[in-house]
Amino acid sequence: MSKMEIIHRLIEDIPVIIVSGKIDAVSSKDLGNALAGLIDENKRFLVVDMEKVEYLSSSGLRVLMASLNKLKNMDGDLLLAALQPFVKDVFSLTGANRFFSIYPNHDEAIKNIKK
Amino acid sequence: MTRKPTNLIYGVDEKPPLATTLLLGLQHIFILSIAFIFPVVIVKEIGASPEDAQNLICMAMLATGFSTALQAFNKGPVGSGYLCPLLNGPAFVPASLLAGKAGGLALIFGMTAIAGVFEALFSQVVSRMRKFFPPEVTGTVVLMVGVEVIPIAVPKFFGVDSIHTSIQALPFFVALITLAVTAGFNVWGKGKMRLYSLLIGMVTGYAVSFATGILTIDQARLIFDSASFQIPEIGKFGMSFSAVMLVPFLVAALSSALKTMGDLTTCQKINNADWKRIEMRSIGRGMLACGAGNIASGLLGALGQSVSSSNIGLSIATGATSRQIGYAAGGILMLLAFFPKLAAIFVIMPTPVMGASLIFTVCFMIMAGIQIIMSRMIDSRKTFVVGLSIIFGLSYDALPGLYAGVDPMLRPMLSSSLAVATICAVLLNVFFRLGISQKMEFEIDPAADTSEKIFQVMEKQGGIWGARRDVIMNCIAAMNELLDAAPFLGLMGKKISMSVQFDEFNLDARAVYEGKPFEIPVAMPRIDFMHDEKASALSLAAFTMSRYVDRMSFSERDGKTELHMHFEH
Repeated sequence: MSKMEIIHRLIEDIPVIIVSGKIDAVSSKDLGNALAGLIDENKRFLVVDMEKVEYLSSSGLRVLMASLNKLKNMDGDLLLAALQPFVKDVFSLTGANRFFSIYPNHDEAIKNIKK
Repeated sequence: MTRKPTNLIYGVDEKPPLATTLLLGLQHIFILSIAFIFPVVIVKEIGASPEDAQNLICMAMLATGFSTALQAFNKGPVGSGYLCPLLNGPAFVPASLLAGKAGGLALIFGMTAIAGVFEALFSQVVSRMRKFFPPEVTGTVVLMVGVEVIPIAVPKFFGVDSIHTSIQALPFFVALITLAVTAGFNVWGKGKMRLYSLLIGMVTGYAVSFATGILTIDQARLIFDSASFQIPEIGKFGMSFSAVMLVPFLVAALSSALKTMGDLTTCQKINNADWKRIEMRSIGRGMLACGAGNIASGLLGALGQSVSSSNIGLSIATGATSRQIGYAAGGILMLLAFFPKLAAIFVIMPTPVMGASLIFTVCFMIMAGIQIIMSRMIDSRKTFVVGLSIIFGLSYDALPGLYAGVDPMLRPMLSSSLAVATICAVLLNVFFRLGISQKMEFEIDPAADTSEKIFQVMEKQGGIWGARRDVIMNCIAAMNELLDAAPFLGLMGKKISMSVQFDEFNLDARAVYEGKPFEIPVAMPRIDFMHDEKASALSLAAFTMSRYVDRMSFSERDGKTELHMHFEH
C-alpha cells in the first residue's frame, strides 16, 4: 500500500513537486502545506509532477484548485504534469481540467513557463 | 449500438467494396484450406481410396461454405452475425476415426449429423449457463484455441515430420520468408497492404517454394490435370448410425460448442470497443449455425465442422471483420466445390507456407485470450482456474500418451489440449465459486481509517467476485468521497456501515451513518471558494461522488441515513 510522499526539486529555477502514492483526505493536508509554503515564498510558478500518483480524492483536488486560484491572483500558474489514467479521469469527470494546464511531463511544463 | 474499435478498418456492420470483399474472402479461404488435410488423414487411416478423399474435400467446401455464410447472418434465429468461418476441424477427428474404423464413411456422416442435432439443442439452453463461462474461463478457452494450433503449426514451420525430426533448412527458410513478409506488411503496411498481408505473404511463400523446389512441378501439375468443372456427388456414401458412437460424437460436439463460445466471445470483443461481458444471444445463434452446419455435413458427406480460430486471428490481424467477408468466403468455397482446377491451388499449398500462416494467426488468438482474461480483476481463485487449466491443457502436448489410459468413452473429452483445458476451466470455476458470498459488509471509522482501508477491502473483494477493475475503482472512489465528506457531516468519532452487493450486471454499495442526507450539487463549486475548506469541501466531495456513480439516492430512518450508490457492471 502506497503512502503519499512529496519530493521538492528546483529545475531551471522552477519548483517542481513530485508526488507519489494516494492523495486522500489525510494526505492532501501535506500537499496543501507543501504548496502553501512555496506560495508564501512568493514562488509564482509551480509544477506538480503526478506521474506516481495512483489516486486523487476531492480533498486533493480542492487543495490543487485553491493553490491554482492563489497563484492566478499573483499572475502565476500551477501546472500539472504526467497524470495517470485514473487521475486524468478525476479531472475530466469533474470538469477541473478546464482550469489547469496539463502536460505529459514536467520538462514540457517547465518549457512552457520559460516561453 | 456498439462502438467500432479504432484498429478495425472494416467493422462487422460495414460493407467493403466488392473487389475488396472478394479478396478478403479469398484470404480467409487460404487459411481454411489448411484444414483440408484432415479428410485426407481420415481417409488414409480407415483405408478408403484417394478418390474418396477428393470427394470429402469437395463436400467439405460445400458444407463449410454453407455454414460460414450462415454464421455471418445477423437476422433470424440462426447465425451469430460475425465473420467466424467454419472448417472440418480437429475437434471431430478422434471421434471420426473411431466411427470410420467401426463402420466406414457412412457411420462418420450419420454420427456427424447426430452431433449437429445435439449442438443445435445445446444452443437453445446455453443462454442460461452464463455463470459457468465468466471471462477467465472463456479467455482461457480462447488462449488455448491458439495454443492448440501450435503443435500443428510449428513442425510445418521448421520442416519437421515423422522422417525429418530436426529443423530442415530449406522449408524453414521458406516459412521464415512467408512469416516475415506477412508480419512486415501487417506491422508497417498501410491501408490495403495490412488488409491483404496474409495473402501477400502466402503468394510470396508459394513463389519461393516453387523457386526452391519445395513446390514441385508434379504437384503444380495437379492444377492442370484437374477438371475445370464438375458437379460434386452429394451424399455418395449415405449415413448409418450406432449407439456406441454416441458418446464420442456428443463429446466432440460439446467441445466444439465450447470452442464456438470462446471464438464468438473473441468476435464480440474485437468488434466492440466497449465490450464488457459475453453476450449469450449471439453465442446461442452462432452455436445453432454450427449445429446446422454439422447436420449439413452429415447429409452432404463431409466431416464434422467447428469454428476456425485461425480465421478470427486473421480478422484481428488485418482489421477486417465485416460479415460481408463471411458471405464472400462462404460463397467462394461453395463455388470451388464445382471447379476442381481452382480448388487444387489450395490443395497443393506448401507445408512451410501453412506453418507460417498458422503461426501468424496464432499470435493474435493468444493475445485475444489474454485480454479477455485480464478484463476482470484476478484473485487467487481465478489464478488457479486459469493457471491449472493451461498447465493441464499443455500437458496433453508436452507429454503425449499421458491420457491414453483413460476410459475410451471419456477419451474424446481429453482428446486435445483445448479439450483438457476447457474441461479443467469449467470444473475449476464451478469448484472455486463455492462459498463466494455476493454480499460483503464492513465498517469505516472516519477518525481512524484512511482511503487505504477501502482500497484493501474492495480490491480483495473485487478480485473474489471477478468484477471489472474500472467499476470497482469507481466504487472505491465514491466511498472515499464519503470519507472526505465525513468531517463536514459530523461523522468524526462515529462509524459508517458499508455493505456492497454484486452480481454480473450490478454493483450496489450502501452506506449507513448517523446524520442527515447531504445536498448533491449539479455543478462544481466555484474555484474562488476552494480556499475555504468548510465552504467547499463537502459540496466538492458530494459533486465528485455523483460523477462516479450511475445512480444515487438517500433514505432516512431512526435518525440514520442510508446512501445508496449504484454502479452498472
